Amino acid sequence: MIDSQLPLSGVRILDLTWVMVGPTTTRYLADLGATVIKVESAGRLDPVRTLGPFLDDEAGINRSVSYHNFNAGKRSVAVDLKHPDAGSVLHPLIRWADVVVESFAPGVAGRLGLDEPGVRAVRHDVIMVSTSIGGVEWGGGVGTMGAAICGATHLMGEPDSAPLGPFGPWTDEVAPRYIAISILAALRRRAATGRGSYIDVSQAEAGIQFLLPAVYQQAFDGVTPMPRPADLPDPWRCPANAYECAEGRWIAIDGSSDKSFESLRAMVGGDLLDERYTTLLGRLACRGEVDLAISNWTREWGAAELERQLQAHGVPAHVASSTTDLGVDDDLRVSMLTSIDLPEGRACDVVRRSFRWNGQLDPVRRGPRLGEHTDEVLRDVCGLDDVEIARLREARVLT
Amino acid sequence: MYAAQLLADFGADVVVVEPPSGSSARRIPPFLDDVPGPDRGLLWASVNRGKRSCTLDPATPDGRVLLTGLAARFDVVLYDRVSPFGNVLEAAPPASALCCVFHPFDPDGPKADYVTTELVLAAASGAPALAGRPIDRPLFFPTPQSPFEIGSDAAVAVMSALVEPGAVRPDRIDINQRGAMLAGAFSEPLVVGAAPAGALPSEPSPRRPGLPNTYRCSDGYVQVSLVFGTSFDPKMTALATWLADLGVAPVDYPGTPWASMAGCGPEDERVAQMIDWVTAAVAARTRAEVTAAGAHYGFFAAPVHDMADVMASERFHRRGAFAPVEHPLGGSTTELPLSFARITEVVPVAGSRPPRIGEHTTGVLSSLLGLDHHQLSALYAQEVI
Repeated sequence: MIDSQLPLSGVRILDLTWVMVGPTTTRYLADLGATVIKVESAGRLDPVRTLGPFLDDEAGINRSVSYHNFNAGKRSVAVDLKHPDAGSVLHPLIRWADVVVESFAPGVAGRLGLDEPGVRAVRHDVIMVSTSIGGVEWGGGVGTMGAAICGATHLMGEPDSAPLGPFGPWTDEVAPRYIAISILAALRRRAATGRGSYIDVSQAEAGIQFLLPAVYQQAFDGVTPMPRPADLPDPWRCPANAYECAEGRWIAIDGSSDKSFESLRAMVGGDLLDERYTTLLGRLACRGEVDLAISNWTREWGAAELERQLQAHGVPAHVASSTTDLGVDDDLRVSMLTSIDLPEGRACDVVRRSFRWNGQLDPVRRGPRLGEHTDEVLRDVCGLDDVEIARLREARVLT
Repeated sequence: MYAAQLLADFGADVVVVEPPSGSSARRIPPFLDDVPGPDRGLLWASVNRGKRSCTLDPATPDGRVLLTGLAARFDVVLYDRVSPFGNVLEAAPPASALCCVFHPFDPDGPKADYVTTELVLAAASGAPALAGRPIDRPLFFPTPQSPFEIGSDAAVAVMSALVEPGAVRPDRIDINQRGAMLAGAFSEPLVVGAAPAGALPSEPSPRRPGLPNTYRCSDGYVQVSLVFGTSFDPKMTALATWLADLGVAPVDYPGTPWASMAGCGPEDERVAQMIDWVTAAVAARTRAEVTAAGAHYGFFAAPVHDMADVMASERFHRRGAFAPVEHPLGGSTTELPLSFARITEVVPVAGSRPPRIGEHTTGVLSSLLGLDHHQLSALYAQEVI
């Protein structure tokens, strides 16, 4: 699909962010058609350029698959933000931009003149976005901290032992949706009023939203939600659990509805035919026995084959997909995971958005090489000539 | 449902259409005070704030006409492809609205006809297999994640079409629900460039051992993150400096070549040593003391909050994260941390209680479709509404 048909075609984003939360936000906008210019520098690399996995397992600043994934479709300008003359590049970029996004540790943007007053002095109707872990008081950090502060980490683990938390830097992936919709609301408001906005989203506050039923339980029941035993993912359903399969992988099966249970029971046979299990109340009372009968059966099957068989019989089931499983899942190969060609002569996979626009998949693009678009952007967006560009490079404003 | 909540939070007028028996989402536990009831579901209550409810039975000819008639009078229509409402709207798509259609799996993929529940969709997202390390089984959130992962993704797509006021186009957005949930699992750098295409592997998938990052302290648990890799060397040096200053680790510990530990797990002697020292250092300190040390020295540390801590957090209050929200059954309001963003002159959050089943049916159908009391009574008598 060509970009001009996408809803954010013509929207201009100046991306001063790095690592995950900011780049993931601006990738949403790029995938919806916005033009995103990412400011980086060789002296202060986006850490994701140094994180794997790398193409052919060989490290290199343009070889990080994670970087390509978070920055697909953006343009890269390499500028030393601390250089006294950085404004000669940044100010034209700010004048160009509808939206400026930063994710510096609290205080850093101000020192660089890139806080809201500094940016608004250059463009009065700009939409300025700051994102942090929990605001100024929490300082800088990563999404694992956001998960701890917002209550998510506490909810994941075995009761009475150290919390295990959700995977990795959880709020780094939760928050981008909230930042993106705030930007979209601000763009609509600007279109209606001509006024810019300042947007401040913290990862921890975004993370709380994904836990709303727990918030309600605390607020209206006065009960503090606690982690559940790992073998009891849903106490109101039975059977509904993860069961181990022959090769040590796990499959989630939810046979709680009578219809699903009868299908499951017909497949499992044996102990599951016990009359007591015919009713939900009977199954709840004998949960341990029901789960044992099912896991004795699942251990004889390969997880993938079992998934197909159960689904063919109308039983909700899916392998508890590992990252390896995700990479080779035919369901995801249709559109969600797709291979892009890189100049290094290799292809790598990136993840597409979950949405299709008018049936069309969003364009698949790689992430930029460091500074790949510096000259082009300085010429076309900033209006600088080759002499000036050479001077800035000589003065090490460009890195 | 949550996508429409986010639109309502930004001021949209949202009507939730339900069958006469009520939305199935009303039946999702847990319930207020653990007592079930159509207005007591905590998920339902938290994602239908400030909406209006209109009932109609899509299995009846009248219900189908009402549904397509209503759909034509809204800017945006959201529905599940596999649902009684979805069947009606797919057969007669509204000509003027933006439709946002939800599919459990890729509608063009081999799993398009899979049946799902929250548990199954979560397993397919990859998140439970990543969570829970180092225990050896997938770990699920005790609160449903799919409504939020999917709803917030959908809200991004829908709102992108609403940027120009008055310019809604009759576009169509298809949301792959598993795809939306994957975004989370992919937050670990795990893109799989080297994996061969083809069948699922027959080998067990590797579960990396993972590093513990929560530690028992004097007033609960605190998170201290060990991360090895060039970009994070300063963080590890900072943590080591703290450990050395406390006398827990030797004075030359900050000089450790951290980069050489990249990719190492707890089985590595040096990593195990560091875990031991962190364990010893935090044991007698409070969450606040360890967090303050992290801020002072420059390493990653945070208190592990439970929901009572979140509600009591002065920092969240000072930032303006709390907004008044009505009790699910109406009446009193309570300040809840539902304001997810500070935006100039915009206060996102709809705070009113969720609607009762069909609470606004007559009002919606009379104002939008011009039905009179006689017609509404006749439809009600036949259980259409």
